[in-house]
Amino acid sequence: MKLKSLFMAILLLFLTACGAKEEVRSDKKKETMQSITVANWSQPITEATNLLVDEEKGFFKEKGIDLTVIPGAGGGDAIKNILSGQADVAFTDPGSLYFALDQGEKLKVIYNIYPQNVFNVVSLKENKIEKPEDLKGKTIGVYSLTSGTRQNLLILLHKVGLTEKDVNIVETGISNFAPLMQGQVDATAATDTGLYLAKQKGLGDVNVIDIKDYLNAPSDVFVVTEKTYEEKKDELKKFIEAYRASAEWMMSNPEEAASLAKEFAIDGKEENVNLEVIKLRNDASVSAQTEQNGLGAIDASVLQQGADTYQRLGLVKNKLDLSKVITEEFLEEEE
Amino acid sequence: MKKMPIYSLLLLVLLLVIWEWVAGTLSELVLPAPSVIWMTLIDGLASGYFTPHIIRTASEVLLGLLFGCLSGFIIGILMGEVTFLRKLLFPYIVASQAVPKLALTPLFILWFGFGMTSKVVITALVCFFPLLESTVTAIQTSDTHKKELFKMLGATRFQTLIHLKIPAGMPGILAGLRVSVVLAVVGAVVGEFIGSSEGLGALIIATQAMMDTPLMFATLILLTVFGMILYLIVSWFEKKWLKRYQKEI
Repeated sequence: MKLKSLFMAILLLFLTACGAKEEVRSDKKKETMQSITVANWSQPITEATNLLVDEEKGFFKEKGIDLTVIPGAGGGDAIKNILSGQADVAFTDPGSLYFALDQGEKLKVIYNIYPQNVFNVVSLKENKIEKPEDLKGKTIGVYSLTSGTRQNLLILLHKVGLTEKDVNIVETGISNFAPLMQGQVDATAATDTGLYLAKQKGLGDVNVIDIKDYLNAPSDVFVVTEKTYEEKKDELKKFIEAYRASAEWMMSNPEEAASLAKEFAIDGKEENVNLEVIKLRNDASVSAQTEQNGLGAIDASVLQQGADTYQRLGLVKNKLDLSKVITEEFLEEEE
Repeated sequence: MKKMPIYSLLLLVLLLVIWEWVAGTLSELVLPAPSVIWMTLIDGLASGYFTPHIIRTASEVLLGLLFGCLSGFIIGILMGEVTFLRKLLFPYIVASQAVPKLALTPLFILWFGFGMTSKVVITALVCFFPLLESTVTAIQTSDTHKKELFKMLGATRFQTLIHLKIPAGMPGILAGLRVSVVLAVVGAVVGEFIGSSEGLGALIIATQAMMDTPLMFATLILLTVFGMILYLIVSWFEKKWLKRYQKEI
């Protein structure tokens, strides 16, 4: 009898605990809601606060969408998660999109999250690297050899007639400003938020080469599989409407978002840091195109230019036709 | 020899002083000072910042330990008792343990999802083998004379197992458990490195992106303390058991 009770207790504990994250929210309303799972490229971080606070703000709930966000380790992970059916929408970078398309995957780009290229190459002033040509012969750190930092660095080098062979690229991990400060690398390929955080940690005077001055390709887009695109049109339309509303909220209320990030983002420890990160992402969410056509507007020509550069660099083998991949169907405003 | 704990403590103080001094000459991003790490740790604990992460990792470790050790113990007994099973299963079990779990983590997430289940499975797999190995050895190496005595007294195979082999093998089994508890923490953290939004392992990854090295050290301290507490609990239990068992003898 005792053994039986113990077994039942263990079983109950396991079921309760394992269900903790999947959150069995039992409200009846949920049954009528449509579920959408977003595969994020990262953990739940401050810059995506608008996606994380639905419990509090209800942007998605209001549209009848039961939103789940699953973490990932890079844009490639996000794409893998939609291809394996674990998620419906991937929050990913164009590089990962090009690689998947090159492998023959059938995908659709449905929203331009950050039309601005947020990547940069940072060096200490004393290293005298003021323009991309100065990188020749230098050692440059990247997050990882499969990350957007490396791909954007290659684009920059390509734009000034240099190749990977003209520089020494080293993988430094995501704390890549430490080797720069220690003098182990001459420059580091990073992002605007990374640069802000490094400055907070005592990075001195630096020269910054913004990749967007050479190719202003989007930093992140929402991607779905063709199958999801065909089967979940209604849900995707509502999802995009809700995401737009959440992005608009984050732009008009950065302070509130920064405060909520403390609770909902794994890296949201300090509110003042959250605020600056959120402001940077708000700036990255708008462009001339979004001013005209609303948030999420996709510039097909820039994405195509990015794909062509990837092919010239040998990063992808095939000529990719982005016009077949991009759809603005869900971006049309409701009358 | 009695003064060893004092020397050990003095060594720690000396190392901390050297660390504090060296850290003063470097950026906090490269090497934070122990005082800064301590403040970060206290601040995080007081504000409750660490709480959900500690609960998550502790749950994964305890559940993984429970399932891994329970299955290791039961299969260990079966393999220790039944030679046929031991010969049949052992090569496969050894092969399964030779596979690096870290490489399998992304697959476990695909199979078991992003919730706690995948991390519990990884932890259980990591804990399973040390306990299995120690249980098999403990069951097989019980005292031959005592076994003969049990036989003469007409004890059944089950009675011999329950009253002789398991109690006598307990020191060996608990030694396996001591290894398992420390490995369980490693298993859960490795599981959290990929595909996790919560837990001390996920926090370590986040601290790298946040460039918050003091927070990373503070998280590592929490994990170390957690592993040590588990180890000490098993050691305490082991001592109690041995005391009782020796008395009975």
